Amino acid sequence: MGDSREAIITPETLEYLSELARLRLTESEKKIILRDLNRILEYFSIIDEVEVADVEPAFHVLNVSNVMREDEVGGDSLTQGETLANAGHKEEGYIKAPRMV
Amino acid sequence: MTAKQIVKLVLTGSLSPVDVVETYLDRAKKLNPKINAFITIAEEHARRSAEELEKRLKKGFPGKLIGVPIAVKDVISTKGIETTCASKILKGYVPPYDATVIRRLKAEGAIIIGKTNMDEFAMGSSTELSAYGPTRNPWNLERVVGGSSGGSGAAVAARMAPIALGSDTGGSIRCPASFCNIVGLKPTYGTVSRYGLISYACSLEQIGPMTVDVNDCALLMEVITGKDCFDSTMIDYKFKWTPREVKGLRMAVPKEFFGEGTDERVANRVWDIIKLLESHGAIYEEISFPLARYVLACYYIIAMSEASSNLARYDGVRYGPPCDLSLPWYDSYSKIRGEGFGIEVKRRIILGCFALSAGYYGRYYLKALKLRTMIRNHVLSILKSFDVIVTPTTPFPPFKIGERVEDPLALYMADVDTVVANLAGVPAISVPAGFIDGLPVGAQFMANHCCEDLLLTVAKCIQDETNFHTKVSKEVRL
Amino acid sequence: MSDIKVKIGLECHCQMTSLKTKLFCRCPADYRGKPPNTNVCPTCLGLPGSLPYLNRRAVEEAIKVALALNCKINRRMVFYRKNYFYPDLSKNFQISQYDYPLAVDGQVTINVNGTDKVIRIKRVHIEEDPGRIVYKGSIESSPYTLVDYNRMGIALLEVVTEPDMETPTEAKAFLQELRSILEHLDVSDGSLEGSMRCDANISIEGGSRVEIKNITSFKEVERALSYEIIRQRNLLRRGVQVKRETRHWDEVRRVTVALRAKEEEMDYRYFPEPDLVPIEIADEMIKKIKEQLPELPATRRIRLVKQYGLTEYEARVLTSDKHLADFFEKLVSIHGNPKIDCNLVINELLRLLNEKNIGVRDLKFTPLEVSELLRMVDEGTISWKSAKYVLRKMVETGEHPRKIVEIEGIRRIASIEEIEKYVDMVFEKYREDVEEALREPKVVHKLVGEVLKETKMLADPKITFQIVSKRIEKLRELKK
Ligand SMILES: [Mg+2]
Ligand SMILES: [Zn+2]
Repeated sequence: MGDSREAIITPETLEYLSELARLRLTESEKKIILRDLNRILEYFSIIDEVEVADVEPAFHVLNVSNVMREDEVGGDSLTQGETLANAGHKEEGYIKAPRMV
Repeated sequence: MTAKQIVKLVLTGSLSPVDVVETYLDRAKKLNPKINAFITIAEEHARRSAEELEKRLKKGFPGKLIGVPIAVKDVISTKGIETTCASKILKGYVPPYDATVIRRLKAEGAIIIGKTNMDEFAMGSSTELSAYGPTRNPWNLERVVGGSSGGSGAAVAARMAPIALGSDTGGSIRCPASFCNIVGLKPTYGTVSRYGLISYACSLEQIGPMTVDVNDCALLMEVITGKDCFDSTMIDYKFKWTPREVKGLRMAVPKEFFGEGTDERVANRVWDIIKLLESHGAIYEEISFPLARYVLACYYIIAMSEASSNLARYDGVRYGPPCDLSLPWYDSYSKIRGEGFGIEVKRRIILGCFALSAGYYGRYYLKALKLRTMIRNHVLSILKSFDVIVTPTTPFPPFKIGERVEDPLALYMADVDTVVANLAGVPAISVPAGFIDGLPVGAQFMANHCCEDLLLTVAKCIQDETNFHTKVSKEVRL
Repeated sequence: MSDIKVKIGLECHCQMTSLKTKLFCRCPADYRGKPPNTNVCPTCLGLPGSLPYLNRRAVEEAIKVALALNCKINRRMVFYRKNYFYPDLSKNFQISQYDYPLAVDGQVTINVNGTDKVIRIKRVHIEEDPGRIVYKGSIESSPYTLVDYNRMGIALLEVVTEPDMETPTEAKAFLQELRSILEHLDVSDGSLEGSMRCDANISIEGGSRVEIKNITSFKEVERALSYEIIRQRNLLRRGVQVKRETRHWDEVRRVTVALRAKEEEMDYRYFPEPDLVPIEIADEMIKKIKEQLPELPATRRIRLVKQYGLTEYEARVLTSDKHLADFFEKLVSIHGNPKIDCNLVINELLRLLNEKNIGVRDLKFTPLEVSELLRMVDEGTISWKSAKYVLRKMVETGEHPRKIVEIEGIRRIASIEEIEKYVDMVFEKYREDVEEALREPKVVHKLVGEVLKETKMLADPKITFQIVSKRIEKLRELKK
């Protein structure tokens, strides 16, 4: 996977990632984040020292499985008023979102 | 006053819930400008609740926490009370539902007095990274309180509330508890419902008590633990504790957590505690924890990856400051998220996206999960031969506000002793362990899954012998 | 279209409409017809702090389907987060499956023009439905969007095929079979609006794979695919390379449109959902569900042929719609003449249903009324021809057949005396034709037709023909 000590995140990668995360960054933020991310990744690279070939990943820390509920109506149902109360833009019961194109 | 004492006085009629609430509101309002522990002081809500409780008392339905004000970290959903996660992106958000823990507290007669300051979305270890400014340490106003549940820590330390709730993803309850000279417990993963806890890293975090003393910690645990039909990651466990002696208790002391990178004075305070317990019949052994050097990287990779997904929902459509409708959706989302999140949150979201992205998933996220298995197994194997593992809670005492905030890695180091418990899912407690130049430090104990009772037994012994917990900063005398 | 090789794969999203609640929360699954944003809770609205909790029956229903599609069920099933931003997704990620899906490697046999063909199923998994976006005008022209989260969180079953279909007709046949299977299992009601939607990927020899999204009903698939084949073929003919891209089916304009280029090659950053635990599916559970599987279209077809002596074709038409087959079987159980009953259902009734664009369950009458109708034919009260007319009236009004017959004065004229009166009239009126008929036997039919017209089609055609023929015969002899 390449040498972990080299800077992995280039300005282009950062551009791509901020697009993926839908996060607009200012120029000064880009500078700071680019510097920090590479320092942090360099620090993270110590995990390369550990051999984990036969280890199962811990998707969950406890061995809990098969937790399901019955198919019965209930829960914290919300009224339209409660649902819309926190929405900034609304129209006739709908929540207004930006255009698609 | 402790919560236990308040309950007693309310039940005997010596104090009414309204009296209690007014007293604490008064303190909170007076001290908050100085400490900045609260983002919201829920004055109106607290008064109304107190009045309702008086009626309930007359009807004869008291609860375990009747009339006890509680400060709640602003990461926990409270119906009708603004919940911001100390972020601009949730400014003005008023949840239409209560977290399960809040429901349980209310059912037992507790009164939410306010929502406490924190690092934005619980990402931080100093409560400096809040959109509402840093919380100041009641023991030294120039110093940090620790984080991310710093507001809750400070509120209890300054007696603006007798008890508080925090959340702990990598040490966020224990670190401020240590910096504030209070008791903070991170319960076993899956024992306290996370429904209503605004996620930062769901596989790691738990809500837990932050209290002046061990008895209140136990009382709060009795109320908040137990299965919930809204959280499917829970285990069947209800906290119960009968205090006992520490005689014969086996303690493991992993030397990696006392050596390089740890302030010698902190290590010494913790050793004092170990010796104290030894004098009461506990036995200790120094052990090695070779995986110690990987715990922070492992923790941060997992936490950031989960966070990048958990925080995707903040887009200005359903809640929070409204998005810009003049832009197409992708630009509108980027803009509102760019404006709404602070720099550390952005750093973590971007790194998390990177760790999960095609080509890097195996190297970072999956690898961290495998390391997590190894770390958990190692912790559990130690806990086969020992009852508890002892370490400092943080490697250094409270640092100066601004000292580390520009350097994320320096800040991450504050978590080096605490993340192990989150990675392994085991319970861990921070107990006041004395002072260094007037600054509090804490000792941390970890135990096996669902062995919170052991932790409280140890903590009780320390508390009874040291009385550190009774000390209050002169800064908060009114 | 036969000169170039076309490969079509489908990703079908079927709502499990028989569930009472959504997939991960306890909101009612029946969201249709409710005012916007009134069928939600913190979980499906993606409020901060909310958590998913899996519906047990959704898993059981999904296993039923996977078994019916001849899939291998994974013993360990895990939910993943599929991370992408979109205004209809309340959390900006979808809880879906990735590695460890519910089931893999199945197959379904379809039949087009009498030929069987096996379509391989790649995987079957469970995921949550997004909300609904309402555009003002089209997706491209809408100045903003309106979102209704009532549908958010409805349990979906995703069925992914291998690219084994070669024509839009095959794709349609597959979807019809899938729908019938789901209806036989009582998992999904395909007649509900938006309950079965799909994405299609299509590649033409020499071009890249194009994905078509937003096909909101199975009916639209054939149309969307046909359009896309023509579009791609035209590009290839002009020597333009077909790009690998995702296109959006515009139902109103009936064209596919390319959306923003950046949306291609999305990195979904799948990772296991930390808020849900793995589901271990025990052998006993599979065994139990298997034992309780109802009869499926394929076996029903065989039974219908055996039990009622239907043709292969007839059985296929009936079982392409579970409710049609049910209707037929009910009718036979009352009326008891499989040939006639089948004929009425698949020729007359089905034609009316298609014409009116409604389903069997929209009918305002039951097989019992239809059996009454057929009984009148059996009794000789009305003719077959009239029966078809009455059936149409029944579909339109829901009236009882006997009432329609009474009101409209419909009966069958079978009495020879009565018909002879009409024959007299016609022979008087059309003397020239009668003359001609004496020389040219074909003209007899014309006379019969005129008689039937005079009786307003109520006379029995067979008897009428016999009478007319006899008359002509007599006249011919007289002439000699
Ligand atoms: Mg899908
Ligand atoms: Zn819901």
